[in-house]
Amino acid sequence: MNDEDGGNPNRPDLGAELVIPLSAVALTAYYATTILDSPWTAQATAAVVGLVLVACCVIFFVKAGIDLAAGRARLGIMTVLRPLDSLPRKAGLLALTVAALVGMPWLGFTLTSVLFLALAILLLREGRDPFRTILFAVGLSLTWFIVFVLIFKRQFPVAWFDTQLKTIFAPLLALVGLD
Amino acid sequence: MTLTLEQALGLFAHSASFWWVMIPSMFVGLVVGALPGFSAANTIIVLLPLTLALGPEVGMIFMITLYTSSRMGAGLPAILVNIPGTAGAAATPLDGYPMAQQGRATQALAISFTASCIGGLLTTLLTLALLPYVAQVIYVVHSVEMVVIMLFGLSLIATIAAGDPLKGLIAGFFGMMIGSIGSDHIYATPRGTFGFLELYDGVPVIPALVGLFAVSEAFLVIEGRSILTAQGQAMMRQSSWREVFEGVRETLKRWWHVVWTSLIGLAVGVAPGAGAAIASFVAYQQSKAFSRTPEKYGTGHIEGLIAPESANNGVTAGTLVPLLVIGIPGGATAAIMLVVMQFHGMTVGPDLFLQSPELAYGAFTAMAISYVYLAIAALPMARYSSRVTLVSTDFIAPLVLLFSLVGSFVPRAYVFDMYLALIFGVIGYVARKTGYHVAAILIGVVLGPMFEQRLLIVLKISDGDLGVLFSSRLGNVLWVLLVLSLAVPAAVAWWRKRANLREAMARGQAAEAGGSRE
Repeated sequence: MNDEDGGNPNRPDLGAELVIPLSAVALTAYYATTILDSPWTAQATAAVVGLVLVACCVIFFVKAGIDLAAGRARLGIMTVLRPLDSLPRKAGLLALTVAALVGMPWLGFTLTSVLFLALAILLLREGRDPFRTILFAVGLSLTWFIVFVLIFKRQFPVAWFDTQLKTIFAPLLALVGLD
Repeated sequence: MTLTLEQALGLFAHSASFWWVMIPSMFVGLVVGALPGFSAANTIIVLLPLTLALGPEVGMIFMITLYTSSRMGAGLPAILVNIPGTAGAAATPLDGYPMAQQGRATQALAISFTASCIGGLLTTLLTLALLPYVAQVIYVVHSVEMVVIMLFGLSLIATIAAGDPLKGLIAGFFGMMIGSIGSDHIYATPRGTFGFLELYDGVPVIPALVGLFAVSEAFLVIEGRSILTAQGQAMMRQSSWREVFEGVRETLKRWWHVVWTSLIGLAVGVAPGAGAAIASFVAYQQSKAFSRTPEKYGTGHIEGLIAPESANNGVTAGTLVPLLVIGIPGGATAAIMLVVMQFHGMTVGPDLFLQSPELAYGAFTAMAISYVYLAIAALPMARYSSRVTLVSTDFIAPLVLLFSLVGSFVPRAYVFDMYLALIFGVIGYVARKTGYHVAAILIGVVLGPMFEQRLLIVLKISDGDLGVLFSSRLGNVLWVLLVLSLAVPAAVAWWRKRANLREAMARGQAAEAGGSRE
């Protein structure tokens, strides 16, 4: 892999490695602002944990700075994105996951599951075998609806589709004593 | 609280006669254990009307079998697809999943099930035989000792971080910082909650667990078409009953390892408030610390799989001890058992052993019998469920994602928790891509708040005097063991390194001398 398609693997992309320590420092700083006026019981452990965490991160930043200055590393983030050929699949799957979470309160648990599974599998299989994929998604989502919503009575977000399904399955559940 | 051999045998036969309850509840337990978010506790709650209708003895046997089998079921997805079913199985994928990736899923499952059954059976029988002595643990383990026990678990961060200490420590303390989010344990002051009410009770473990392990894994596995390596695929296609028996044989060969790690589970389980997560982390840390081949841990090492699995099943018998002996539930499942027993008018405590020995001792004999039944059912399961690893990642990734999101929603029924799982998934993905260990983050998230709670209780009682941590005899023994378990492996590694260096230098000098003679 050369610099054009994602950087030189011999020089580590420190930008990517800095994400976790930077997030850690940001969280610690924010956390500190929320406990400034709190009693000592709220501050004690977090203060110790935060101090050690920031100290470790500072050491990491200093080491990273030395490596960058010496040219042993670069400030890229390609480590997180490689292999680049799978990037569209990952981005698509992430977008579908976010869409499913956003859409679930409106579409309900079952329809969201059907759509998410069908679209995600079709995306990953590049549109191959749509009929079987949809059948698989519908079958699995219905099974989950029966197990989670009807039998285990979990309060998943419900919409029109789930209400209709409940009406359809109600007599069957009554028959086996699970109503 | 003593039982003659004849009485004990009678109780075993009596418990075995309840096979008609145990076998169905065993399968329910295995399934709910394997589903992230579905613990034995909430399944018993869901099935409470049934449990209450069954009568005290049948209800108790039903709950105990469900509890033991769900503990075992949690290891199944942890090994096959890197999703621990519960926090108690969070240490299982450390070596179980690499084994699956190498095409040794059948063997890994057989090892996990065998270690679970032997560990669970052994600790149950031991508890039954030594109940009066085991029960003493409840009275000697207080917050001071629990602080040290949790430090054993937390020191796993350092053990995991051995490869890159700085990154390991950052990951572990980052996890502890995340674990500190929520209201403080004394005055309920909200801390670091970003204004979300859903975080006032702290960061929920299940979204963190499935996010860090499963969601991140879903995005990593789609880099290839299979979760197995090329060699692993070939091995998995040829997998047969031979691998199952090989797994059983490998576990039996390491019987001593199963024994002592399950005893760690029992000791931790008896202490009220401790749980399978602490037990499995402590057992893994100890197993690695005293191993002759610590460098193999994390690469699919058999002992790294045996330790957490036998320990988290060692916890099950231990959890029943405080419940039955002093009427204090040691965990969520035990608390529900207490409710059911009280519903039936039973008084839990020492009197129970005199008034209803078939129920008090029967709880342990039923647990032992359920492990025997599980052993019979588990081997075919190891043989056939391992085939999951051959399914294309095109199917596995969306299924894992949906399972993870559903699992993170189930415990609290907050859509917020699904978003949280996704955020943890992103953290886990970045961490794994850049060499930070997700297990270290998870240990911080799980054990951090528990440690803080215990420490604050200790400090509150002692008016902020840290010296109280060294005030108990047992606590001091544990401190010494903790220091030894951290120092001895480091010293041994240093000594080995030095010996290797000396050997290499001697070889170099010999070669040089040989060269100069020529």
